[in-house]
Amino acid sequence: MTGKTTDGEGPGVRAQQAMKRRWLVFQGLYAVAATALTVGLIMGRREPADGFPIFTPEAAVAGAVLLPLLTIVTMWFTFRMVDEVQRRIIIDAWAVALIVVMFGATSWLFLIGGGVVPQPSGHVALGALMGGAALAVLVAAVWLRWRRIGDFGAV
Amino acid sequence: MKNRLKVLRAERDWSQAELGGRVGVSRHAIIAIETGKHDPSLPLAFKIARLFGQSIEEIFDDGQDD
Repeated sequence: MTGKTTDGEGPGVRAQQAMKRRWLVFQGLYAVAATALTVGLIMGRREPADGFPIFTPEAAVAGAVLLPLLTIVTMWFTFRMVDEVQRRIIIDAWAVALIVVMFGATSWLFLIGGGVVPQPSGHVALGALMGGAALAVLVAAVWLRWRRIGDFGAV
Repeated sequence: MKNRLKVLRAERDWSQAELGGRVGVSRHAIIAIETGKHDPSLPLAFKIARLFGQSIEEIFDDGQDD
């Protein structure tokens, strides 16, 4: 068995470098797709003076279809490219977020029902749930990475 | 789960990145496995065992002596 002595040598290190390059290319493609989608949605906005609704129907349908599609495709590629430790961190972070949102929403409903907090509009409720879920995923992913790998790097 | 990855790696003078690349995972995965924070999947355990020419039981110890 041939062993190499430094990080700059060996087929394993070269394979790692190739993996990193593929990951960078993937991130670049994602950035381009996400930017194109964002620009498209911004262009599909109605005049702010017109008030609600914010988007034209075409832009709204395109966003409703393309955003989940981009997310699904991105997740599929991400799961193919990362290793099992990173995959587990991502899945666990999503599970944590689901639990946080479920219990958070339930508690919120009780507080609304009891008149402790004001009844939110539909937009505020949706935004709070989505923002809360995104924050929970991020915090859980960073925390899990620190627990399992020992650094706070990007998952 | 305890394991002898660090010892086996040191015997060959391999870095964590080198071992990770040879079995198709990141350096971070090797860190998590070596420190016992992650139990490798069966396919990965087989890959590691084959790479070192040993059985899975010789490398990984689940602490169940029977």
